Amino acid sequence: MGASASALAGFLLADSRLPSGAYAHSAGLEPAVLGGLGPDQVYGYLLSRLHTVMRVETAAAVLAFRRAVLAQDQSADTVSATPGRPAFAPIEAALDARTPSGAQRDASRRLGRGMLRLAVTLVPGNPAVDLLAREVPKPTRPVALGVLGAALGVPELELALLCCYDDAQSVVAAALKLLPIDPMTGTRWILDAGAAMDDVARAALTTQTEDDLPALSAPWMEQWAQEHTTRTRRLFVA
Amino acid sequence: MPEIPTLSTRSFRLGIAGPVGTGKSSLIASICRAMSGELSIGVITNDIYTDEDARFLKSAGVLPGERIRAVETGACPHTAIRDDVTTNLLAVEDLESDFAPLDLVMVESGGDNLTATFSPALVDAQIFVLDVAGGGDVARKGGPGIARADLLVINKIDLAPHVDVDVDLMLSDAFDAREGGPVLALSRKVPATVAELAEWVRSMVVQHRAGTHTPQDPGPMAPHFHADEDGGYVHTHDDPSGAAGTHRH
Repeated sequence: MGASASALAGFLLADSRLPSGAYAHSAGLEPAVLGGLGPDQVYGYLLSRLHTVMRVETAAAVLAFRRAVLAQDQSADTVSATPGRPAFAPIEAALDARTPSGAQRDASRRLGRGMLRLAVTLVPGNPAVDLLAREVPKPTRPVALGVLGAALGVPELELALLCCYDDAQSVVAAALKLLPIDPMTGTRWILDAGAAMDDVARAALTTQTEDDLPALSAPWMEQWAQEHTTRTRRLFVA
Repeated sequence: MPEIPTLSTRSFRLGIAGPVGTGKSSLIASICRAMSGELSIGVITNDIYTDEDARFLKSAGVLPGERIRAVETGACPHTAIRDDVTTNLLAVEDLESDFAPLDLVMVESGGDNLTATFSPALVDAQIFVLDVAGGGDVARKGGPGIARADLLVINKIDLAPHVDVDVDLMLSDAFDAREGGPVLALSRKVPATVAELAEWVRSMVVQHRAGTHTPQDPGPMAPHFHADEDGGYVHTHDDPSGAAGTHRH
């Protein structure tokens, strides 16, 4: 795939106008704000997400990306002929084991389903996308993102950065709707978090198997996410 | 469009749009009350800030509570029914799969402005709801939903004497705006009007099943006016004659 095509694919996946349902999610910020987080704490929240939830998810996205590349390299027949060795289900299981909040698992799967629906439409017949749809019809966000990234030819490091960037932009976009924050300040936060994103993305590239997935906890975010599920007044799913 | 997962049933999907407070939830409740004996129904609500509409419908007791689901729209009710329908589509498909076979799924938009219409990627047909209390001149002002939804409902006609609105004039404005497309005067307190609404829904379900109904897109752009030195002109963007359809706004 040419450099232009893979760059274009990266732009597409990073665009909030991508029709995959992400605008209804706040990366946990609305639950946090309702739990007392103020405008001057949003950037800290964004960094905390990067160093906890995103470290885990980006590593999972990279694993899914590599399995997808393998599935594309083999013929579809070969892949389906090895039912004893699923490609994506073990990543999902490892992610679930590292995501104690049911609300967070559920939110991630809503995003992942939207992403998979888009993938099936954008790259019909892609062996990796077909395999994911068969094996895990309701995948998490990082797994679906990794597979779609591979199917569109996004390079590995870019995919890992994209996983971080998308989450950080979800935080900022939601912050502008929930708190008195200058939109340009929010945009500045994305640039300021660049080094942290690079760090998380490069660490994710060292992941070889499910066992390497970091197991990090952010108890407040987990608690806030749980509390959000029973609220009757909210703008965002999670 | 490919479906995930593969569905054994596909309901008739009906969108209900219109400004805040015109009676979208109440209209849905009326349809459920009138038709739940003959159709298997599910409802998705898109409240802007609360699950109030879902709770209203549940408390109305017109459907079992689990068949009414609220979807969050991230403060973007317009996006959720038009530019990115993913969240609503997933909710519709889940309902269809959990209660298969469903005959009818209604999707209620979060109350929005006059330009909000459903994408044909989400619904098979749509009702646009106005009410007399919102002003007798709204139908005349037009807009894509008013002009080209499959059905325009003028709701709460029982209130007309109290808000000094001439229902007949409002209906005639609406017919003009729609170039003869169907308009229904409704009040949940006037059973004959509810029966008319149910009959329209029934005929749409029949057409959908027979494969004779083609979803129409009301489109985001209403016929509109352009001033020029000769006094101006009205045009639409689906004008096949070409020249009038391409210009800057």
